[in-house]
Amino acid sequence: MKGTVNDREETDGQGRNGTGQTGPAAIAAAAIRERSSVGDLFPRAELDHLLNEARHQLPEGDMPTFVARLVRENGDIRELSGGDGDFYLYSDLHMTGAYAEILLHRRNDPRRLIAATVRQNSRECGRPIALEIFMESPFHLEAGAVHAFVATMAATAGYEDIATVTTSAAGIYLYSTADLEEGHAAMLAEWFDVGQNLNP
Amino acid sequence: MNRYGGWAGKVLRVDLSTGRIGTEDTIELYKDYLGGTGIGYKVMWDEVPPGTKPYDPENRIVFAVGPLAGTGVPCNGRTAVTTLWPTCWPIPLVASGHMGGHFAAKLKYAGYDAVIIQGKAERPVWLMIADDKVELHDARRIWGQGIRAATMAIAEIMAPDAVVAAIGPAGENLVPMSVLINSVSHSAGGVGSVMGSKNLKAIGVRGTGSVRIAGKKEDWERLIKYHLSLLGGNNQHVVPNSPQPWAEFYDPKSRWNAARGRRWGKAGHLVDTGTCDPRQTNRIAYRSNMAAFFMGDDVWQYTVRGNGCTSCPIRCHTITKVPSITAKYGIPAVGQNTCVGFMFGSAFFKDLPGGLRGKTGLEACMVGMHLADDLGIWCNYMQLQRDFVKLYYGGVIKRKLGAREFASYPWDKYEAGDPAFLFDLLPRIARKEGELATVLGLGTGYLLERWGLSEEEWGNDKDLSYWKMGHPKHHASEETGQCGLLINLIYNRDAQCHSHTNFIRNGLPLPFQKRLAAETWGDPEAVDALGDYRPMHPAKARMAKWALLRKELHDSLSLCNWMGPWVASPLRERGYRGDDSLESMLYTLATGDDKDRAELDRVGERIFLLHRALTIRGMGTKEMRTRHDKIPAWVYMDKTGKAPFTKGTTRMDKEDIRAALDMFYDELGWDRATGAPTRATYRKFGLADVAAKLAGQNLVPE
Repeated sequence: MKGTVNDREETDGQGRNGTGQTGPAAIAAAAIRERSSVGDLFPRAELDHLLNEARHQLPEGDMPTFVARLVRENGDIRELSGGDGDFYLYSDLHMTGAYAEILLHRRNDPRRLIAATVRQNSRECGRPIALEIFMESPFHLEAGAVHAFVATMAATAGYEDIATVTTSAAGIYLYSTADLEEGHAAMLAEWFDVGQNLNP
Repeated sequence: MNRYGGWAGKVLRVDLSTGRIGTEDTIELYKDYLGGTGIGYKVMWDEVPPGTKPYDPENRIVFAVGPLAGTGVPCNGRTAVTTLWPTCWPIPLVASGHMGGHFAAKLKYAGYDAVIIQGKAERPVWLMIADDKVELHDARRIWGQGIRAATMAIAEIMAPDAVVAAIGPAGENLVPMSVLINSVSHSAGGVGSVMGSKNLKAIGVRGTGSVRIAGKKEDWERLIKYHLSLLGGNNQHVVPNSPQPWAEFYDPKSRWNAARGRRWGKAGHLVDTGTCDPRQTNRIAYRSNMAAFFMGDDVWQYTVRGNGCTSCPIRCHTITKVPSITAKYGIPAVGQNTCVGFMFGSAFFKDLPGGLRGKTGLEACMVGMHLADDLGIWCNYMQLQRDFVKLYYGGVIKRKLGAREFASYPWDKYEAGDPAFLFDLLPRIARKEGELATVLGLGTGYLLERWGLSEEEWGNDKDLSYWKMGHPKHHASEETGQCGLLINLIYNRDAQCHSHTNFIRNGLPLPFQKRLAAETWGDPEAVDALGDYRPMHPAKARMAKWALLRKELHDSLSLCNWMGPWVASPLRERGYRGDDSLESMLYTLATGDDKDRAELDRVGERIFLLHRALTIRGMGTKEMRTRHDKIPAWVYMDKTGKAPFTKGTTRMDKEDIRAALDMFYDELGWDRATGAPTRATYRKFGLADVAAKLAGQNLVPE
């Protein structure tokens, strides 16, 4: 027999309510937290399946309400819109908003992700970053797409500030001209790519 | 009876000339110098007269550990080896090498805080320390063997759990560029030939005792857990090198390079390093893979695991397994080392097929480690390799060698980037075979002198990283501006100080670093943005002094200055603060000698002051500012012509550095004009007797 959703559930953070039983909100929160702890978003679309597996069923069309309440009643659960009608959930106990944004945008807007990452590194950390990082975890962008973007960005509206510098070891580094001067970016890129290896 | 915890209470003295072995009281003689380099400098001051040469029997070689060695404190595996430094040019002066591994703990468990070696044995010997059984053994059967064979032979005689610190053929043959190694890969650079000159092949240590902790058990456990909670990755980098779910910040150059999907590929079973949340202190060992950091992400697939020192969770020596090299080069598939030890082989090449960080680069690393760590060759923080590349491509080697010797090297193999070339070069260095091998083994200063080359030329070439006195810079002005420069002035070899660079490279954004700098050194101006250096500021002098004192304290307590200090932490909830009182808290609880941070710093300053006194006495002049604290010309150069204090240059300004020296000397209580400590400063730190002796030779400023 499947249960139905109560108006409110108090849980202990492990998915158990006051009676030691697990309600749908508790189950969902626990699953979201677990997924976040290993570095993944939880697609809202998976909630149905999750609750079904736990023998709970939401009334038809009640998912938005359920999620809204889930977020409201669990201070750590956050929801992000994928922009394409999909929504994703994560727990900020285990995942920062910045990380969640990376996971989100690598799916739906890698160009925006690259630009945002480059700008953030230039602005907040005063450094250019190697192009390779976008092919590595957690970005996992396809190399061809990254190179294609980099090749065209200077001529792309909204991305004119994204510039590249190449080191003596042929490393390509990206920076934003809004926050880093070319000479400074070039010196830093050379230091990161070559100098530090010689001065370990 | 030793009433203190921490210390074993005894120092072992071995006279190789007479065969006499005895013990002395650590507390009575050396407590004011803690241990490690503190004991080393004290012995050198008291017992080695000026004018002594490194290979004279009168020279001492002091193996000393500190009160924290062999305890549960993280990163406590360091043994300081202090002696007259054979590569220090043009006059050998006091310096120390520092080896990790398990020698330090075993020495404490055997009941000793230090071993002082003096004299010279008539024939090759090795020293066996098995608790209170201490004997000299004939080493003729192992003389000439590599470090690994010698280690195995001694362990077979002593016990499987004995730790052996041995020299290889390089040390035996009095090659100044030689090392001492224990626990497979943990080396003290530069001291191998001093042991060789004494006919001492190795020291084997087995200890069955323990270290007494003076404080309450529960307080000690709480403090250790607290210390663990503040640890970052390798070099106390406190943010990961890629975005992680838990991390507010990341820095692509951080040595905390664990991530989900980065796996130890040769572990034999699936080991995923994972996201490594800093609150999971039982996963600290997964945070850093130094081989992958230095040689690129492809190395993950060859990684077996991390190896490290006693009680250190960082495991900075990466064990790598590359099966293909056995058939290709005839060497074992498994090797281990870190940093310049790992890159020993690849650094000889200007380029390699697939790039320096490609597969051939890794093969060169494996071949280099295999040879250097068995032959016992030292790289002098890769100055050996930089010199070799410059000499070869500059045509100097061809000019200086006879045609026959030049032709005896397969240069086509070298230029093609074949790691097998190392088999043609490194054994010859260890055997001093021919002119090239001999000069490379001398160290840079004596090499330049022998071949009539100019030190000035080396000092003009920034890419060579040469600093002074035969040694390179070691984290100087290129990333910590004036602070790093000042630190590199002081020692008689490369500075080996990581206090400042670990902070600057910790990965936190500048505003966070500045906040911590304000709390620690009194002003945010202590630190600058990388490549955007500002003029000298008194807080930079304070930071430089702090960095040196932390280094001396670490070297004297047996803490690892490569992993500390712990001013910053990875904990967001602490505002990324670490705790700069850790050293004094650990010391106090371990020994029962109650000292707060300032009091322990004063001991560190006493130790550091004695190093300065030894340098002054050794050089026979108090004119340190002009004769010792020299700065290479490249510091004031910029290839693009940028002026100092403009963005994008590391170029320093001469007037500013003059001011920096004044502030630094002021901070230390040293005379501005000479750079020598004043009599009042010696007296302040309990070294009035040292001042009196120096004053008798006009070596104290008026």
